[in-house]
Amino acid sequence: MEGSISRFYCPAGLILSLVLLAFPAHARPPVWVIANPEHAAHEQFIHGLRDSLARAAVPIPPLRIIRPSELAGTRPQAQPILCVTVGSRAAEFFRDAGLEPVRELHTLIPEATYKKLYPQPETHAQGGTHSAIYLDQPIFRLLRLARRILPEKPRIGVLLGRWSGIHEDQLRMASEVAQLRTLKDAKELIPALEALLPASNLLLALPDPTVYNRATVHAILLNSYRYRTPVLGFSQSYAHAGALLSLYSTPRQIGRQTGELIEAMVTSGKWRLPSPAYPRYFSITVNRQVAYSLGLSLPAEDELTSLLDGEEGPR
Amino acid sequence: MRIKPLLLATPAALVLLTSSFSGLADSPALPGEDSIYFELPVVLSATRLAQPMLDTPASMTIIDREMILASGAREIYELFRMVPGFQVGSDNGSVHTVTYHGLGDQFSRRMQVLIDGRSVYTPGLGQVEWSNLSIGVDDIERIEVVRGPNAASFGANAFLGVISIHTYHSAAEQGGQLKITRGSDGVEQFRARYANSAGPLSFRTSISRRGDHGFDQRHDSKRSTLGNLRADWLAGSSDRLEFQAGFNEGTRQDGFLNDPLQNPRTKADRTHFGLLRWQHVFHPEHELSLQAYYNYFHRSETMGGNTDSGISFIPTSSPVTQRRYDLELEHRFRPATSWRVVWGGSARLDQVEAPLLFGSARPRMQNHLYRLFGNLEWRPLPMLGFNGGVMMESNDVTGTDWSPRLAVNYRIFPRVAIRASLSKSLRTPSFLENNVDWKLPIAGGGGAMAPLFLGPGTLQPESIIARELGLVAATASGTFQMELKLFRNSLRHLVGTSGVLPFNFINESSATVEGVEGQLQWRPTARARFVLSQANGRTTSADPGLEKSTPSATTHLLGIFHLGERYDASFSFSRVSQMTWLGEGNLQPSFRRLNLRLARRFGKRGREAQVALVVHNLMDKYLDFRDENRSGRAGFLQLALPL
Repeated sequence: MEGSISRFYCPAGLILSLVLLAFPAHARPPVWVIANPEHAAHEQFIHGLRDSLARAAVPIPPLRIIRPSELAGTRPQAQPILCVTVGSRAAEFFRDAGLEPVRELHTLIPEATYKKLYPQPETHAQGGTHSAIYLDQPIFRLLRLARRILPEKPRIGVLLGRWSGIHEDQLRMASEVAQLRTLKDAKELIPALEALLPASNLLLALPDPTVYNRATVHAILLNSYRYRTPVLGFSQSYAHAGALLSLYSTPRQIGRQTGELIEAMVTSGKWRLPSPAYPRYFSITVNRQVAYSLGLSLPAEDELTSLLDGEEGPR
Repeated sequence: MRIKPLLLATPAALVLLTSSFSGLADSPALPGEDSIYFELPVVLSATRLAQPMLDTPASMTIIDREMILASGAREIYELFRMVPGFQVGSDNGSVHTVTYHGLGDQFSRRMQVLIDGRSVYTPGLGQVEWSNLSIGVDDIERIEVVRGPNAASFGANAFLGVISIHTYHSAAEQGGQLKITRGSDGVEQFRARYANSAGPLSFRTSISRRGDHGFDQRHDSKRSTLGNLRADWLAGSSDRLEFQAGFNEGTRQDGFLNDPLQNPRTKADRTHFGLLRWQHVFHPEHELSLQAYYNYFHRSETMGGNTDSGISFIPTSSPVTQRRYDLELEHRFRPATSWRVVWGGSARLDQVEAPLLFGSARPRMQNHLYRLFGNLEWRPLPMLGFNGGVMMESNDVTGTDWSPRLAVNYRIFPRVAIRASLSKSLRTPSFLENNVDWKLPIAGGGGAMAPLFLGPGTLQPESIIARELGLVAATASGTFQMELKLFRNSLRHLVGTSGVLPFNFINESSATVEGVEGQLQWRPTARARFVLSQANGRTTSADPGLEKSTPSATTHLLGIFHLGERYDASFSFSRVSQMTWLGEGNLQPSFRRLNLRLARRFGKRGREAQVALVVHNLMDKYLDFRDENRSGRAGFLQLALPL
């Protein structure tokens, strides 16, 4: 691994000069953060990362923020000890930039995208070359939340699309999941909802732009409300739009987790990448108005978060 | 009917516009962080969310899509048999009436009916033309029925009850469907529906042709062509624009050979409407909406003509044109956690042109109406809620009126609530009641006119004070839901007629209607559902006609069964005890009615076809509304095909 970093090759123009100015040859190798600071989510991620590193008990390597578009043709003077990509586009750019292998941590990336970009799973016992902190929530966490909020045994309905299909096997094994439908075509959305909603007492929405997007939000929320089947969404804006509640991780929370991971690697001194992981920190937003209208009384958001936290054990 | 080509062309244009798009993003690109962190408009804002049954300030019945389908109803008015205390009747094959605990004639004149917030109660003749609506049963997503007056929210004429019909949102359905119904009594219905969306724009449209022969032995066939269009446009995350338009035109036969005032004739009716609504959602509990609509109605018919009654009038054309223009602003917000506020105002202009009814000296009658309303909900404790509302109305006919309402809900257990409410409502007399001056020239009378109906021009509004005590309970899972209410309504200045030729409209009577009623819903399994409605009531009044108009008991039981993946079966049983309808109606002896529906779906999900067999009134024939009308057994076969 060390060898591969020493062979790192970057034909850079602008970045090179920046790096030369900023890093004298004796400086410690930096951590690269490939992100678009103008993107609101990336900006929050960087805030979360910096806050977390600022609290670290050990000296942390310097951070270099690099835009995805600046990657191609970069030849760093100081080779990074770790590359953190933020978002799918950064991960794709990084892969396509044709750079020498480097230790990579991909963040704010859907599990499906990561697995498509890196189809060969690695064994991380000795530390792999790439890993990820997914954007998706683990299914077990969503199922636990469903059990907490419903007055009766969950009969969860799930609509899967092209990308969320990777969760199918896991969902099929869960006794809480009563209905699973995979959409292959736009025309199937409403018939699938019509079939799924009457038989479910919760619609679990998993992020997948082929199913859950701006164009489908009306059909999904209006029909689910018509059947009085609440929706467990995946973002704050889905809860605002009319989902009963959403469980999600903010970019800041994923930034924090990334910072803690870097700190752990520095502390161990081994720079071993762990296996890809789901977000450790998460938030819950309840739409109180929808809950009231459906006659459901839900605990406070903080209370729900700590209940789930408690079930997941110590961090 | 210049509007019709436009109404037909608009859906076609929208089909072309949206056919190249699909509702699902079909991007081959790998999903990114934007698959989670993207902005969405507020879909379920306060106006779309119903209050939970335990906390509603008035007794309400919701008729949802499953109940609509299971009831086997072919026409909208039939659905109200399912509502506790409601009676429906048919003066003929096209004039239907809906009332609550009696006090009803052929016009449904004491019931407010709204379709997506647009009142379809006609101002001129004071009635709801159930056969002239631009929508059919299949366009309806759900109906909310307020059992009792609610002028504080809906204004005058929300008198005996309020029927609020909600059609499908344009994004709630997709694709096309053809539906054909054929059956006894000459029933023929053909309906085509199409819905699609393209990015922020979605629309749905349906067009139907329908007809039937009405009752046996009656001159009451009807034929209608009707259509409607709804388009919704999302302008950014917080603004939405809704456009609706529709029409209905057709012929309805009416009359009797032996009634000189109801000569056999064919009425040609034409209606259309347009509605535009803008909604701005600041956040889910703060929104502002502005809506404008117009309704147009035109009827041409010839009154008089030969009958075999011995008296004849010279046939006289009797056209009626009614127009309504309405503008309304509504603002909802939550000033503090325990408070909810809705307030707003509206302006309306109603116009009626009916020279035969009002005399040639008054070619156009009109009424301006201005409203200011407010409703406050205060929930100081999770278990306790107060609801107060008031409507101030000013109109040209009766001046300024106030309609207040006060309700308190208290949850004695987490899922059991008691409710007490007191409200006052008014009904403004219609132009017909207040101003009619209807005369017909007598055949062979040398130009002599026979005065038929006369309005005094000084009628006061009818008033109702309603007192309710209710008990509501529901299990958390929704397996059981139950509502029980005791009520006592005092009505004053009820408008009726006295004298003979002319019949004079007067504020003649007072009445007290009281009783107990309830509804029970039970879902023993996910595949079965029962909905029971029961009402017992009586009217006391100095006017025996009003007393007899209220049946002592009304029962309805709906049973719904989903059998396997492919079959649906349901029954709808009603029983109404003896009552005497007002107006053209007669003594209607107690009757029982049983409808059955059996449906099977074919094909794969998403492209399903459906065949349904519906049988109306499997039990004995009964007298419906008037002596001449006999409701017998009727069967229909319905075929629905995906397009």
